[in-house]
Amino acid sequence: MLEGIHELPADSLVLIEDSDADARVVVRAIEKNNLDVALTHFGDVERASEFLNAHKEPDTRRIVLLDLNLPGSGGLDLLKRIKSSETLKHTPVVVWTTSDQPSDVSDAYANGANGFIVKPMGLSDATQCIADICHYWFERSVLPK
Amino acid sequence: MQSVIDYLFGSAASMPHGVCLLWQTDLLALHAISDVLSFVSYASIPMALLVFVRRRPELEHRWAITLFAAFILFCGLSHLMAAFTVWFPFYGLQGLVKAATAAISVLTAFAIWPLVPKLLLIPSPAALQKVNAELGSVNSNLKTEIAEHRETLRELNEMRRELELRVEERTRALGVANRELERMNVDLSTFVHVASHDLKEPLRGIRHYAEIIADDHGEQLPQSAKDDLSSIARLADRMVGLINSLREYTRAGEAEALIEDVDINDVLHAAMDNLRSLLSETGTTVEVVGTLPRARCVRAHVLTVLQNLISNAAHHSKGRAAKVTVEAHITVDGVTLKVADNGPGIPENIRDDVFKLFRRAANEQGEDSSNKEGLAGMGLAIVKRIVERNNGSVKLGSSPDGGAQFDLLMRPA
Repeated sequence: MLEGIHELPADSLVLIEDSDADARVVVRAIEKNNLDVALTHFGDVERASEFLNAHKEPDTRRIVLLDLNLPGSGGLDLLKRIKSSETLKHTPVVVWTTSDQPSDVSDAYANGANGFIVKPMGLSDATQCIADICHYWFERSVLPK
Repeated sequence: MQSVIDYLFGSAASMPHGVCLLWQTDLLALHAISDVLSFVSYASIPMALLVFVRRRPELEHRWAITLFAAFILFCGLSHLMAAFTVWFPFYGLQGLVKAATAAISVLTAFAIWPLVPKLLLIPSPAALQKVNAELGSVNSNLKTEIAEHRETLRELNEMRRELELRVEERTRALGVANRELERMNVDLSTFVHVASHDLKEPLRGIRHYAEIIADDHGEQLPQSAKDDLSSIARLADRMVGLINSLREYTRAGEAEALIEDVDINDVLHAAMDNLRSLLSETGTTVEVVGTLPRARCVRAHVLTVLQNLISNAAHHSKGRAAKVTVEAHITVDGVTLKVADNGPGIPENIRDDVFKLFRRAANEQGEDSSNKEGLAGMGLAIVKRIVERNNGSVKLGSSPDGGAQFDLLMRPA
């Protein structure tokens, strides 16, 4: 789903998340925080990978919010693919997961993750967290075009 | 010179003994033949004796037999001289031979008496045979005994080999069991990690949906429905807390335990830092008794133990500000820790139960008793598990001001 009609290409948040409940929270957080962000949601690795490779519009500032626990080859595999792709490797990938296991954290960073966020428990915390992520990457950070 | 020869072999004046016998042929023959036969016999007997002596060099008193031989030989010579003197008057020579015979006879006579008791001591062949027979039976007894001992030894060796085999077999079986156990441990901890992840995700969903409904449609809902929605959220939270503590409990039993030189004071401060918000919310204070030593132990274990005990005291202070005292010593047994509080204490009849998994004090039932960390009912079980991993013990008693007092011993190895 693409949201926000703008003259300029909107900031793009690509969410790869198989839990509808968690995806719903992200969608809701963008709505509630009135964020000017286009959210694209995929529930599996293959379709997300296809999309990322096919839609690389110039002038779009894009970040990936990636769940690790995904059906199929899993989130870590997609992270590796993104970071080893010449065209995609500069895209910031923020890991968004239930796991706080040290091995998952170090594996993610070792494979080029740009952030590691443990999904907060509680709606208000989660809403604030999404706002923080968008604010940090789209407002504060300078991203490659 | 002529006189010596005359003396020995008789002068012209001397007469042969035959004269006394009036040269009667029968008398001459009787004397001469008897003497010569005696001489021959007396010469043969010593020869036999000498042959015997030569053949038995181990014999005692050989000199005595040799002396007898000489004595008999000289008696024989005396008879020979008597035969000679029938025809030749060698009375001087005969006298000398008689003198020599007398000398050797006297010597033998003197020698023989002391010899009698000594000779009596020599056992008779019959006695020897009897002794021999006895020895033979002793010998055969010994042979039987030796054979029996050999048999016993062989049996012992066989048993030892069998035992060794059995020990080897048992060791192998133990190794297999150990590996199996290790594998199961790894399986269990993997299971707990995965399960905690997979179980938490739907719980988070439940809570979030309940919150979304309350948020989006709260105005249309009666108060009781809103209360129920918040109960759903709280119960989901509690379940997450329980899953977290179950994982914590499993971690407490896992392998990585690095023993190092640990400053207990540092660890206490780290524990207090981790519990900062709980301590300030409940007004709990922590006091050190004496000074906390440095000790060789597993830092993470001491940290978890202190954190759980302090958190336990803070949660059970019944609304009052808890005061926790911490004491630590190094003894010959290991590291001892004493953590006491001024709370309501723990009744004696449930003191064993508080260390069990998911156990809460009886007066605390109901959902409101669950604390934020979800460690209710788990903290003390974790403490016990860690202490047991350190080959130690934990004892629950009463502190001087009526609160709970935990005495721990840890022997990290």
